[in-house]
Amino acid sequence: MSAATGFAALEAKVHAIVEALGRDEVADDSGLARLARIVRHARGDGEGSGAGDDERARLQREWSEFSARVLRELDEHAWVGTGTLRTRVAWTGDLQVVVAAGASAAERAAHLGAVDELLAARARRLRLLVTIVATARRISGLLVTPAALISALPVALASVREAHARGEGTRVDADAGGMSWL
Amino acid sequence: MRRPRAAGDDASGDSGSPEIVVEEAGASGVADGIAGFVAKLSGTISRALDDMSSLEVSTYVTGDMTSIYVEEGQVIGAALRAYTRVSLDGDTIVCLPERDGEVDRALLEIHGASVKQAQEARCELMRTIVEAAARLTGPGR
Repeated sequence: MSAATGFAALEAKVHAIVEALGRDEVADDSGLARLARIVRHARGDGEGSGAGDDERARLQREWSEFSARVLRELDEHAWVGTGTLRTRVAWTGDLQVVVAAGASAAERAAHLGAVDELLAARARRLRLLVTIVATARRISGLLVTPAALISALPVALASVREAHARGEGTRVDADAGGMSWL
Repeated sequence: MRRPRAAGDDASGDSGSPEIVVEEAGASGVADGIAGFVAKLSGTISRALDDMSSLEVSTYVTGDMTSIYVEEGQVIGAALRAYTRVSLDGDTIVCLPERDGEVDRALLEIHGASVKQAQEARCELMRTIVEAAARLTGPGR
């Protein structure tokens, strides 16, 4: 599956999640049920804020950490490699390759693969950020008073993460706080 | 002067699995609102576009990988052996290594492969940026 096709599939899943949240038609699914409670509360529908406060704070914290990290990583150089080959990579694709004596053909091939993966990961992250912004714009339409309760961006990140987990057939561990899939 | 953590500090001389380390810089602010975040992202993209008027690949050699570091964008502790610069209009400058009238084939191979992957990555990034710009500045849905 190409990167573009993969993103189209991911966005379709995100779209379905936001639609379900908007219609308040969420099955008893732990990941989405938590999001649904937050959206419901932000819309002023029912459920008290008690347990939801922790969840909102967690989502907000995740978003703050995630957005700061990804923006920083997009903007900076990174080093790839250990041993006999290292490459300093700008996110625009400029490369500074350092070769030590004795680098074998297999090491060169492995290193080029690692550099490729980093370059692809940065393009993927930019696409993800755009997907999150587009999702947040739709979610903000669901929230009556979003500014008072929670920004749409943390909910959008959680929705995209849930969509990704569904695509991978894995479960989001809401308490782990990990973002290894990015 | 800022020294990258990955370039020397972690070096063991072993050719283990590749690792990726992002250089540290000043702390980024947290963008919370959608408009604020879009502004930050747009700023990042604008800076990238400024840097994309040309593509540069430099290949260095060193006898001691643990001693290299970066100063003002230049790799220090290694000798520059090959350099390629491709302008946006396609003008290309290539400086290749030569030893006793012969090109260092192994170095040429890694440099050429790096130039190729940098060009492919640049094309993909351009496509992604155009798409991102359209969506970030387009209607809300």
